Amino acid sequence: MLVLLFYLGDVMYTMKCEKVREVAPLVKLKEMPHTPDYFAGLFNYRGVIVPVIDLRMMIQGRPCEMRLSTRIILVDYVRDDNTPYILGLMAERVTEAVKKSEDAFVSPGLSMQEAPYLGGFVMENKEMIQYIDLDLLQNSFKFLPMLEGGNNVPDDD
Amino acid sequence: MQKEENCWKRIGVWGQEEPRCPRLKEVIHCRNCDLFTQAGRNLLERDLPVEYKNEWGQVLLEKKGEDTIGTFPVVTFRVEGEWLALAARIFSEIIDRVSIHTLPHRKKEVLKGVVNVHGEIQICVSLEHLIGLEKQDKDKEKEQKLNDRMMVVNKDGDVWVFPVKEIHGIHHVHPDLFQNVPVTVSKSKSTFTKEIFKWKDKHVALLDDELLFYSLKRSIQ
Repeated sequence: MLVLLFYLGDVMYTMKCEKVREVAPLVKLKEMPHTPDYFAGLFNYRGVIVPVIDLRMMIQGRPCEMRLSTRIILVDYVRDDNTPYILGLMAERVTEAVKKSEDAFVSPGLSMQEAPYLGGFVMENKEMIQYIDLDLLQNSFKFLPMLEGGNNVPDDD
Repeated sequence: MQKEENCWKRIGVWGQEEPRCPRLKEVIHCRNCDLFTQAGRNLLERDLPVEYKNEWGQVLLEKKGEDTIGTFPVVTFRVEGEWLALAARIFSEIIDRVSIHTLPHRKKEVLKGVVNVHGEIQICVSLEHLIGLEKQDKDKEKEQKLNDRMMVVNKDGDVWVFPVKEIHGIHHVHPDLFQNVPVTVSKSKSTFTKEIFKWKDKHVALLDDELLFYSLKRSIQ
Protein backbone atom coordinates (compact mmCIF):
# COMPACT_ATOMS: atom_id res chain seq x y z
CA MET A 1 0.00 0.00 0.00
CA LEU A 2 1.04 3.59 -0.55
CA VAL A 3 2.35 5.49 2.45
CA LEU A 4 3.23 9.15 2.71
CA LEU A 5 6.59 10.08 4.20
CA PHE A 6 7.13 13.34 6.04
CA TYR A 7 9.18 14.85 8.80
CA LEU A 8 8.49 16.56 12.07
CA GLY A 9 11.79 18.20 12.92
CA ASP A 10 14.47 15.56 12.25
CA VAL A 11 12.24 12.58 12.77
CA MET A 12 10.62 10.81 9.85
CA TYR A 13 7.00 9.79 10.17
CA THR A 14 4.61 8.07 7.84
CA MET A 15 0.88 7.60 7.32
CA LYS A 16 -1.29 5.54 5.02
CA CYS A 17 -2.43 7.31 1.88
CA GLU A 18 -5.89 5.71 1.79
CA LYS A 19 -7.57 8.59 3.55
CA VAL A 20 -5.37 11.34 2.19
CA ARG A 21 -7.40 13.47 -0.16
CA GLU A 22 -4.78 15.95 -1.29
CA VAL A 23 -1.45 17.38 -0.21
CA ALA A 24 -1.85 21.15 -0.38
CA PRO A 25 0.79 23.85 -0.11
CA LEU A 26 0.91 25.99 2.95
CA VAL A 27 -1.70 28.71 2.92
CA LYS A 28 -2.61 31.59 5.15
CA LEU A 29 -4.56 30.25 8.09
CA LYS A 30 -7.14 32.00 10.21
CA GLU A 31 -6.01 31.66 13.77
CA MET A 32 -8.56 31.13 16.48
CA PRO A 33 -8.18 32.35 20.06
CA HIS A 34 -8.60 29.99 22.99
CA THR A 35 -7.78 26.88 21.09
CA PRO A 36 -4.99 24.38 21.88
CA ASP A 37 -1.56 25.56 20.67
CA TYR A 38 -1.33 22.78 18.09
CA PHE A 39 -4.44 24.06 16.37
CA ALA A 40 -2.91 26.06 13.53
CA GLY A 41 -6.11 27.65 12.26
CA LEU A 42 -8.79 27.42 9.62
CA PHE A 43 -8.76 27.91 5.87
CA ASN A 44 -11.18 27.88 2.99
CA TYR A 45 -10.67 24.69 1.01
CA ARG A 46 -12.84 24.81 -2.10
CA GLY A 47 -15.70 26.41 -0.22
CA VAL A 48 -15.41 24.33 2.95
CA ILE A 49 -13.87 25.54 6.22
CA VAL A 50 -11.11 23.10 7.10
CA PRO A 51 -9.35 23.07 10.49
CA VAL A 52 -5.58 22.54 10.36
CA ILE A 53 -3.55 20.82 13.06
CA ASP A 54 0.17 21.49 13.43
CA LEU A 55 1.42 17.92 13.82
CA ARG A 56 4.88 18.98 14.97
CA MET A 57 3.45 21.16 17.69
CA MET A 58 1.20 18.36 18.78
CA ILE A 59 3.87 15.69 18.92
CA GLN A 60 7.07 17.62 19.65
CA GLY A 61 5.83 20.86 21.18
CA ARG A 62 7.41 23.07 18.48
CA PRO A 63 5.63 24.58 15.50
CA CYS A 64 6.44 23.52 11.91
CA GLU A 65 9.08 25.61 10.18
CA MET A 66 7.63 27.80 7.43
CA ARG A 67 9.42 26.19 4.48
CA LEU A 68 8.36 25.43 0.92
CA SER A 69 8.25 21.74 1.74
CA THR A 70 5.96 22.27 4.72
CA ARG A 71 2.56 21.26 3.50
CA ILE A 72 -0.97 20.57 4.60
CA ILE A 73 -2.11 16.97 4.28
CA LEU A 74 -5.86 16.96 3.76
CA VAL A 75 -7.48 13.86 5.23
CA ASP A 76 -11.01 12.59 4.60
CA TYR A 77 -12.85 11.61 7.75
CA VAL A 78 -16.36 10.50 8.56
CA ARG A 79 -18.25 11.70 11.61
CA ASP A 80 -20.22 9.41 13.90
CA ASP A 81 -23.39 10.35 12.04
CA ASN A 82 -21.81 9.29 8.70
CA THR A 83 -21.30 12.80 7.32
CA PRO A 84 -17.88 13.44 5.81
CA TYR A 85 -15.46 16.13 6.89
CA ILE A 86 -11.92 17.15 6.03
CA LEU A 87 -9.06 17.77 8.42
CA GLY A 88 -5.77 19.41 7.53
CA LEU A 89 -2.53 18.13 9.06
CA MET A 90 0.50 20.36 8.75
CA ALA A 91 3.85 18.57 8.50
CA GLU A 92 7.38 19.27 7.26
CA ARG A 93 9.17 17.91 4.19
CA VAL A 94 6.12 16.23 2.75
CA THR A 95 7.88 15.23 -0.45
CA GLU A 96 7.62 11.51 -0.91
CA ALA A 97 5.18 8.63 -1.07
CA VAL A 98 6.42 5.05 -1.20
CA LYS A 99 4.88 1.62 -1.56
CA LYS A 100 5.05 -0.65 1.49
CA SER A 101 3.74 -4.16 1.90
CA GLU A 102 1.29 -4.95 4.67
CA ASP A 103 3.87 -6.91 6.69
CA ALA A 104 6.17 -3.91 6.92
CA PHE A 105 3.76 -2.55 9.52
CA VAL A 106 4.75 -3.71 12.99
CA SER A 107 3.43 -2.89 16.40
CA PRO A 108 5.83 -2.89 19.36
CA GLY A 109 2.95 -3.46 21.73
CA LEU A 110 3.21 -0.04 23.28
CA SER A 111 0.23 2.09 23.98
CA MET A 112 0.65 5.62 25.19
CA GLN A 113 -2.29 7.26 26.82
CA GLU A 114 -1.19 10.69 25.62
CA ALA A 115 -0.70 9.70 22.02
CA PRO A 116 -2.54 6.48 21.15
CA TYR A 117 -2.15 7.25 17.43
CA LEU A 118 1.63 6.78 17.60
CA GLY A 119 1.61 3.05 18.33
CA GLY A 120 3.00 1.42 15.20
CA PHE A 121 6.14 1.39 13.07
CA VAL A 122 6.97 0.78 9.45
CA MET A 123 10.23 -1.05 8.75
CA GLU A 124 12.46 0.37 6.05
CA ASN A 125 15.91 -1.14 5.57
CA LYS A 126 16.03 -2.12 9.22
CA GLU A 127 15.13 1.41 10.21
CA MET A 128 11.94 2.11 12.02
CA ILE A 129 9.64 4.87 10.85
CA GLN A 130 7.00 5.89 13.30
CA TYR A 131 3.55 5.45 11.89
CA ILE A 132 0.59 7.73 12.61
CA ASP A 133 -2.75 5.98 12.78
CA LEU A 134 -5.22 8.39 11.21
CA ASP A 135 -8.25 6.65 12.71
CA LEU A 136 -6.96 7.03 16.23
CA LEU A 137 -5.68 10.51 15.51
CA GLN A 138 -9.11 11.99 14.99
CA ASN A 139 -10.11 11.07 18.54
CA SER A 140 -7.60 13.62 19.80
CA PHE A 141 -9.52 16.49 18.25
CA LYS A 142 -12.75 16.20 20.13
CA PHE A 143 -12.29 19.80 21.21
CA LEU A 144 -13.22 20.93 17.72
CA PRO A 145 -16.96 21.46 17.85
CA MET A 146 -17.08 21.81 14.07
CA LEU A 147 -16.26 18.15 13.75
CA GLU A 148 -19.59 17.33 15.32
CA GLY A 149 -22.05 19.18 13.11
CA GLY A 150 -22.50 19.17 9.37
CA ASN A 151 -20.70 21.27 6.85
CA ASN A 152 -20.48 19.78 3.44
CA VAL A 153 -17.49 18.38 1.65
CA PRO A 154 -17.13 19.01 -2.07
CA ASP A 155 -17.50 15.96 -4.25
CA ASP A 156 -14.46 14.15 -5.50
CA ASP A 157 -13.63 14.55 -9.14
CA MET B 1 30.47 23.47 -0.17
CA GLN B 2 29.99 25.66 -3.21
CA LYS B 3 31.96 23.15 -5.27
CA GLU B 4 29.84 20.23 -4.16
CA GLU B 5 26.67 22.07 -4.86
CA ASN B 6 26.66 21.89 -8.63
CA CYS B 7 28.90 18.90 -9.33
CA TRP B 8 26.44 17.68 -11.99
CA LYS B 9 27.22 20.80 -13.99
CA ARG B 10 31.00 20.34 -13.74
CA ILE B 11 31.95 16.68 -13.66
CA GLY B 12 28.49 15.15 -14.15
CA VAL B 13 26.32 14.70 -17.22
CA TRP B 14 25.70 18.43 -17.68
CA GLY B 15 29.38 19.34 -17.54
CA GLN B 16 32.52 18.73 -19.58
CA GLU B 17 35.22 18.97 -16.91
CA GLU B 18 37.83 16.27 -16.44
CA PRO B 19 38.22 14.08 -14.49
CA ARG B 20 34.68 12.77 -14.67
CA CYS B 21 32.75 12.09 -11.51
CA PRO B 22 33.69 8.63 -10.17
CA ARG B 23 30.07 8.01 -9.19
CA LEU B 24 28.89 8.21 -12.81
CA LYS B 25 30.14 4.68 -13.53
CA GLU B 26 27.81 3.40 -10.90
CA VAL B 27 24.73 5.57 -11.29
CA ILE B 28 24.98 6.20 -15.09
CA HIS B 29 23.08 9.49 -14.90
CA CYS B 30 23.19 12.26 -12.31
CA ARG B 31 19.48 12.01 -11.70
CA ASN B 32 20.07 8.58 -10.13
CA CYS B 33 22.62 10.01 -7.71
CA ASP B 34 21.57 10.78 -4.16
CA LEU B 35 23.68 13.95 -4.17
CA PHE B 36 21.53 15.31 -6.96
CA THR B 37 18.30 14.23 -5.26
CA GLN B 38 19.43 15.85 -2.05
CA ALA B 39 20.22 19.10 -3.84
CA GLY B 40 16.71 19.10 -5.24
CA ARG B 41 15.23 18.47 -1.83
CA ASN B 42 17.28 21.33 -0.41
CA LEU B 43 15.56 23.69 -2.80
CA LEU B 44 12.34 22.87 -1.04
CA GLU B 45 13.88 23.65 2.33
CA ARG B 46 13.95 27.34 1.55
CA ASP B 47 11.79 29.77 3.45
CA LEU B 48 8.41 30.65 2.08
CA PRO B 49 8.23 33.60 -0.31
CA VAL B 50 6.03 36.38 1.04
CA GLU B 51 3.13 36.06 -1.38
CA TYR B 52 3.21 32.27 -1.51
CA LYS B 53 0.61 31.62 1.16
CA ASN B 54 -1.87 34.13 -0.20
CA GLU B 55 -1.52 32.90 -3.76
CA TRP B 56 -2.14 29.29 -2.85
CA GLY B 57 -4.95 30.30 -0.57
CA GLN B 58 -6.67 31.82 -3.59
CA VAL B 59 -6.08 28.69 -5.66
CA LEU B 60 -7.41 26.35 -3.01
CA LEU B 61 -10.61 28.20 -2.30
CA GLU B 62 -11.75 27.78 -5.88
CA LYS B 63 -14.02 24.86 -6.49
CA LYS B 64 -12.64 22.24 -8.81
CA GLY B 65 -13.37 22.75 -12.50
CA GLU B 66 -15.88 21.24 -14.83
CA ASP B 67 -17.53 18.09 -13.68
CA THR B 68 -16.89 15.23 -16.04
CA ILE B 69 -18.78 12.54 -14.15
CA GLY B 70 -21.08 10.54 -16.35
CA THR B 71 -20.01 12.16 -19.59
CA PHE B 72 -19.34 10.16 -22.69
CA PRO B 73 -16.07 10.76 -24.54
CA VAL B 74 -16.38 10.97 -28.31
CA VAL B 75 -14.06 12.01 -31.11
CA THR B 76 -15.69 14.50 -33.44
CA PHE B 77 -14.59 14.70 -37.05
CA ARG B 78 -15.80 15.93 -40.39
CA VAL B 79 -16.42 13.83 -43.45
CA GLU B 80 -17.34 15.94 -46.47
CA GLY B 81 -19.75 18.53 -45.12
CA GLU B 82 -20.97 16.51 -42.19
CA TRP B 83 -19.76 16.50 -38.58
CA LEU B 84 -19.78 13.02 -37.11
CA ALA B 85 -18.62 11.42 -33.89
CA LEU B 86 -17.50 7.99 -32.76
CA ALA B 87 -16.93 6.68 -29.24
CA ALA B 88 -13.38 7.64 -28.20
CA ARG B 89 -12.61 4.21 -26.75
CA ILE B 90 -12.31 2.57 -30.18
CA PHE B 91 -9.70 5.03 -31.42
CA SER B 92 -6.06 3.96 -31.60
CA GLU B 93 -4.61 7.15 -33.00
CA ILE B 94 -4.92 10.00 -35.42
CA ILE B 95 -2.23 10.19 -38.09
CA ASP B 96 -1.32 12.59 -40.86
CA ARG B 97 -2.58 11.74 -44.26
CA VAL B 98 -0.42 9.10 -45.98
CA SER B 99 -0.75 7.77 -49.48
CA ILE B 100 -3.23 5.01 -50.11
CA HIS B 101 -2.21 2.02 -52.19
CA THR B 102 -5.13 0.84 -54.21
CA LEU B 103 -5.79 -2.85 -54.58
CA PRO B 104 -6.17 -4.31 -58.07
CA HIS B 105 -9.39 -6.08 -59.00
CA ARG B 106 -11.20 -4.58 -56.08
CA LYS B 107 -13.59 -2.06 -57.44
CA LYS B 108 -15.69 -1.49 -54.37
CA GLU B 109 -16.04 2.14 -53.51
CA VAL B 110 -15.96 1.62 -49.78
CA LEU B 111 -12.59 -0.10 -49.88
CA LYS B 112 -10.04 2.53 -50.78
CA GLY B 113 -6.97 0.34 -50.45
CA VAL B 114 -4.25 -0.25 -47.91
CA VAL B 115 -2.06 2.17 -46.00
CA ASN B 116 1.16 1.88 -44.08
CA VAL B 117 0.70 2.69 -40.41
CA HIS B 118 3.96 2.34 -38.48
CA GLY B 119 5.12 -0.37 -40.82
CA GLU B 120 1.92 -2.36 -40.66
CA ILE B 121 -0.49 -2.70 -43.53
CA GLN B 122 -4.00 -1.65 -42.61
CA ILE B 123 -7.21 -1.51 -44.57
CA CYS B 124 -8.30 1.96 -45.55
CA VAL B 125 -12.02 2.50 -45.99
CA SER B 126 -14.14 5.39 -47.06
CA LEU B 127 -16.66 6.45 -44.49
CA GLU B 128 -18.45 8.76 -46.90
CA HIS B 129 -19.22 5.92 -49.27
CA LEU B 130 -20.39 3.63 -46.54
CA ILE B 131 -22.68 6.18 -44.99
CA GLY B 132 -23.63 7.74 -48.28
CA LEU B 133 -22.48 11.34 -47.97
CA GLU B 134 -22.43 13.66 -50.93
CA LYS B 135 -19.18 15.09 -52.18
CA GLN B 136 -18.50 18.63 -51.16
CA ASP B 137 -17.81 21.46 -53.60
CA LYS B 138 -14.30 21.36 -54.96
CA ASP B 139 -13.55 24.98 -53.99
CA LYS B 140 -14.52 24.52 -50.41
CA GLU B 141 -12.46 21.38 -50.20
CA LYS B 142 -9.30 23.09 -51.28
CA GLU B 143 -9.19 25.56 -48.46
CA GLN B 144 -9.75 22.83 -45.92
CA LYS B 145 -7.14 20.51 -47.33
CA LEU B 146 -4.71 21.41 -44.55
CA ASN B 147 -6.73 19.61 -41.93
CA ASP B 148 -6.74 16.27 -43.73
CA ARG B 149 -6.11 13.46 -41.29
CA MET B 150 -6.57 9.75 -40.96
CA MET B 151 -8.22 8.05 -38.04
CA VAL B 152 -6.93 4.67 -36.97
CA VAL B 153 -9.70 2.77 -35.25
CA ASN B 154 -9.41 -0.53 -33.48
CA LYS B 155 -12.72 -2.32 -33.13
CA ASP B 156 -12.49 -5.68 -31.34
CA GLY B 157 -9.01 -6.29 -32.73
CA ASP B 158 -9.77 -5.23 -36.31
CA VAL B 159 -7.90 -2.12 -37.38
CA TRP B 160 -9.52 0.27 -39.83
CA VAL B 161 -8.18 3.49 -41.26
CA PHE B 162 -10.54 6.27 -42.30
CA PRO B 163 -9.41 9.35 -44.17
CA VAL B 164 -11.35 12.34 -42.87
CA LYS B 165 -11.40 15.99 -43.78
CA GLU B 166 -10.97 17.41 -40.31
CA ILE B 167 -10.73 16.24 -36.73
CA HIS B 168 -11.75 18.31 -33.80
CA GLY B 169 -10.57 15.98 -31.06
CA ILE B 170 -12.02 14.38 -27.96
CA HIS B 171 -15.20 15.91 -26.73
CA HIS B 172 -17.02 14.99 -23.52
CA VAL B 173 -20.74 14.84 -24.02
CA HIS B 174 -23.21 14.48 -21.22
CA PRO B 175 -25.88 11.85 -22.04
CA ASP B 176 -28.59 14.43 -21.32
CA LEU B 177 -27.44 16.43 -24.31
CA PHE B 178 -28.14 13.61 -26.72
CA GLN B 179 -31.20 14.15 -28.85
CA ASN B 180 -33.12 11.49 -30.64
CA VAL B 181 -32.67 11.04 -34.34
CA PRO B 182 -35.74 12.34 -36.18
CA VAL B 183 -37.66 9.38 -37.53
CA THR B 184 -38.60 11.16 -40.71
CA VAL B 185 -35.01 11.36 -41.91
CA SER B 186 -34.75 8.82 -44.65
CA LYS B 187 -31.21 9.36 -45.85
CA SER B 188 -29.08 6.30 -45.50
CA LYS B 189 -26.60 7.98 -43.18
CA SER B 190 -29.23 8.25 -40.50
CA THR B 191 -29.33 4.51 -40.10
CA PHE B 192 -25.88 4.60 -38.58
CA THR B 193 -26.68 7.50 -36.32
CA LYS B 194 -27.31 6.55 -32.73
CA GLU B 195 -27.70 9.99 -31.23
CA ILE B 196 -27.42 13.60 -32.25
CA PHE B 197 -25.88 16.27 -30.05
CA LYS B 198 -25.30 19.96 -30.44
CA TRP B 199 -21.72 21.17 -30.48
CA LYS B 200 -21.18 24.87 -30.90
CA ASP B 201 -23.60 25.76 -33.70
CA LYS B 202 -23.46 22.36 -35.35
CA HIS B 203 -25.41 19.19 -34.99
CA VAL B 204 -23.08 16.23 -34.65
CA ALA B 205 -24.21 12.69 -35.36
CA LEU B 206 -22.84 10.05 -33.04
CA LEU B 207 -22.45 6.89 -35.09
CA ASP B 208 -23.42 3.48 -33.81
CA ASP B 209 -20.07 1.70 -33.89
CA GLU B 210 -21.50 -1.83 -33.61
CA LEU B 211 -23.68 -1.34 -36.65
CA LEU B 212 -21.07 0.64 -38.55
CA PHE B 213 -18.34 -1.97 -38.30
CA TYR B 214 -20.74 -4.80 -38.89
CA SER B 215 -21.81 -3.37 -42.21
CA LEU B 216 -18.26 -2.33 -42.97
CA LYS B 217 -17.08 -5.90 -42.62
CA ARG B 218 -19.84 -7.13 -44.88
CA SER B 219 -19.34 -4.51 -47.52
CA ILE B 220 -15.69 -5.25 -48.16
CA GLN B 221 -15.99 -9.01 -48.26
